[in-house]
Amino acid sequence: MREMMIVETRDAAEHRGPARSAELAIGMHHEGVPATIFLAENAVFAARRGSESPLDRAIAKGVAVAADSFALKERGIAPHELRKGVAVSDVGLIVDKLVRGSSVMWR
Amino acid sequence: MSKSKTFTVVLMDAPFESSRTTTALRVVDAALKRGINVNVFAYEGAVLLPFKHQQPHANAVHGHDVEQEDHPLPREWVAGMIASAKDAGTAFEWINCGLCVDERGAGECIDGVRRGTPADLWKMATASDNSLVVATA
Amino acid sequence: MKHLNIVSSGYRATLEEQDDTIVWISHAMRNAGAEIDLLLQDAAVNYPVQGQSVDPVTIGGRAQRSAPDVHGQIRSFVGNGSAVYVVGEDLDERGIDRRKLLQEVKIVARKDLPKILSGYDRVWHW
Repeated sequence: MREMMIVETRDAAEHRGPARSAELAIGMHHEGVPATIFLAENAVFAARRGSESPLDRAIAKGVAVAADSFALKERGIAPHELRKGVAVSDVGLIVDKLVRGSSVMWR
Repeated sequence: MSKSKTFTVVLMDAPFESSRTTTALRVVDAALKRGINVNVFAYEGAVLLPFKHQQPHANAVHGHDVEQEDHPLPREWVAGMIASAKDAGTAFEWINCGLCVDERGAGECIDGVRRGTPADLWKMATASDNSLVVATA
Repeated sequence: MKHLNIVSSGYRATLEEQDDTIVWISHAMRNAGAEIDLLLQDAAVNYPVQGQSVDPVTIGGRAQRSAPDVHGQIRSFVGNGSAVYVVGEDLDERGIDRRKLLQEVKIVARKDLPKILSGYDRVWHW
């Protein structure tokens, strides 16, 4: 496995799965498999700074984190409100990763 | 000329039940627009996405008639992708899992959709450059 | 190509479908030549527990004759040479006695998942 992307769609405040996804991404990175987390749908709530989030640890450990611009706009989350290290992107990034041969896991 | 890539995508959610469907179809659409060939294997509820008899409706709460509400239907999205892929010379195959079709009575689909089995999924995925499963929640 | 199917949802529509549909499709793909292993996590970790029994559902007078047997599905899968991994912490959170599990499943720690996943060419999360 060359690279991994986790597409996370769940609200981290409601589910514990997103925290596990973040830990998995950190673990993959540690194993030498670069990992990206793509936040879509309600998962983008975690992109908003101001709350504790396992994303901060993932970002600190080298995991790339991006949020779907469509979902951010849908929820009124402006780019300046994002936590540090979260990039604004779109579903094209998922296609990019698939083209690069990444293993993409949809949660 | 470099050979186009091919992806296989598995969908599971029935229409109008989950945001995952829209997000996943946006990914499929984005891939097709880039000239990437896509196979979709629709499993379980997703076999209803290309169901022929989906109908739009009015919205009395908003005071919209059918035309004003302009309710997009998944079958229109699927048909649109089939048509634009064909125009662009990109391969787009939509296979509905046959047993899932039977148990849901979803046999009447739009043109361009065919019935298949898990063996088809395996064959498509093996022949693809990459694959993606968008499972139900 | 080594392939891993991860199953997280447990007992999702199993009564209507009379199978766990992900374990089922994994079986079907294996019959088609795939080299597939399974990783069970979250509620799906209960699948290898022995002693499960489903009473046939009767609704509106219509009785079910082929109740699902998720344990049997796992038993059959692992009996044919495929690996079935189960996340240990998910067992513990559900108070599942490890001695009650099908012997052939391999209990793994969550911290070991990255190593396990990176050993597969393809990983599908269902």
